Amino acid sequence: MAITKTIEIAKIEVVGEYKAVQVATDTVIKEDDVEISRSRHRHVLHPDMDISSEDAEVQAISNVVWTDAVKDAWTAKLASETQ
Amino acid sequence: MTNARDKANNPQLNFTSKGIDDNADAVAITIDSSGKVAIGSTDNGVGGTIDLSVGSTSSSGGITLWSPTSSTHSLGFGDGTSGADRYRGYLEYAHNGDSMRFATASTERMRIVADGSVGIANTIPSTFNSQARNLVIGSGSGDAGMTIYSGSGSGDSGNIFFADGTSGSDPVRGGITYKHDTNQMLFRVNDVNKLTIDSSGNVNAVSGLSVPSEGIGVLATKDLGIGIHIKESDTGGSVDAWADHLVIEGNTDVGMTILAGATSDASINFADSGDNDAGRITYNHNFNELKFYNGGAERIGIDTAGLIKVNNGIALGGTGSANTLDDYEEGTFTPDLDDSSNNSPTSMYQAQGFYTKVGRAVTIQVYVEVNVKGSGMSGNVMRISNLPFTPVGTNLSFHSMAVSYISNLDVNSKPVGGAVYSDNSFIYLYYINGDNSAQITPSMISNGTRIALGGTYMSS
Repeated sequence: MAITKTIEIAKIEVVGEYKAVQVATDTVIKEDDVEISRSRHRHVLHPDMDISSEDAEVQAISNVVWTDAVKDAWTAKLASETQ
Repeated sequence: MTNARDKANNPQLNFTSKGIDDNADAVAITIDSSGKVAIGSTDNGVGGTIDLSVGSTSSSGGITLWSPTSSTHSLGFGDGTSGADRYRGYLEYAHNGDSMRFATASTERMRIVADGSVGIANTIPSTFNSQARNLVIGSGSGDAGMTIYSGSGSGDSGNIFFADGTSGSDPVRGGITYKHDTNQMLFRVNDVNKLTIDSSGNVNAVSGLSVPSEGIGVLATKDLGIGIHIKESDTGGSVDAWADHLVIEGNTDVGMTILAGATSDASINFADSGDNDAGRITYNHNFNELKFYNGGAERIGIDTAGLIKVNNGIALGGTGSANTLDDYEEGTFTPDLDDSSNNSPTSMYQAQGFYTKVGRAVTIQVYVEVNVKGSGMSGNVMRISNLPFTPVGTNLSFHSMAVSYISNLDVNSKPVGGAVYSDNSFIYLYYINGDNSAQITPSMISNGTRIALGGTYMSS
């Protein structure tokens, strides 16, 4: 009987004007290659975040959608909210 | 030269009576000592044909019976001198209507009428449909029939063939064959046996079985629908014209089974002239899933665990997006207690987040506890960050979060709350300061600060 645990990127979604990147990660437990459990964990990335520890695919998508214009707009938005 | 042939010189040989005018110049009729009569020769037949012989083996000949056009004349076979015994058998030609009649036991058995139609036990064969009256059997009352008497050995069969030529396949273009060695009935179309009924009554069709316009009744007489009616027993019910091509009926449990390969699909398709699977119900035996399709796409599935998957949502009370429930998800996230410059405490003791998303509404529960604050936080306002979904709304809209528990948060006993702004995956933390809210700043955080909050916000 072999128990395995794997983590899979289930979804990568780009959302909204500021190109937030939503990442859904599934933790899959299998017994003898039969899935017995799957749980979902989520997080959201914004243009001002450090994404160096993210999955390569997540980084690639983020770097495409986070243009300088998007980054500037995001910075301006945050500044207006925290004055 | 015999006297018989020398009539010119022997006038006594020229026999003449009131009823007979003999002008022959040779012997034409011979009556032998036994009274047998031979005309045209001196040869006699044998057995029952010996009494009268006509013609010779050296030239054609025959007998002609003359009659007025409206009369009938006959050749009879009698075995008595009175009544029907005088004509136990007879062969008769009726010039009125031109028919030949054959009789046994003093009764006509077969008639050939003027157009060549033959009637057996039938005197009016020409009155039937012209496409099938070459041979008519039966009088129209009682039983009638024809028997083909064949052997029962290997390959023995009885046949009725329908031919349209004399060579190739033409003599057997259509046919009905009964094979006595295997007890099978075969129906032949275009020189191929297309339909076989075997000895158990099973019907096997080479090219499929087409339902005639009258429909087919199975198990019992068809009385519902326009196609196939499989009736175990009569429920007394009726069927709608929208769905009456196949009717399965019975007063007990009834059903239909589609058997497929263990790893294959079994399907019911709904097709039209332009789409052979506009709608479809499929059972996938490989994964034990039941699927419903329309427009060529799977819409609803029930998997092997019994979970129902609805791919495009469920519309309740309307069909617009406002009435459509199209998503459900639950899971975890890892919240952080950071400042507006993305600075976090040195270490967290607890950071727990749970979410449930129903449609666009995301309900979260958060608990964070600072272990070591450190000195790195310098932003204007503290946040609970790393929410699972991005909120939506206009730029200034926000979604309220309720704080249920705090500890070691230096707000001077003021009420604490949170707000989620559109596009921000974090919660700004505030406290109520008189008539206004004020930002919770990093200076109000310390080692051991604990915050529990929850609420619902709208995602994209």
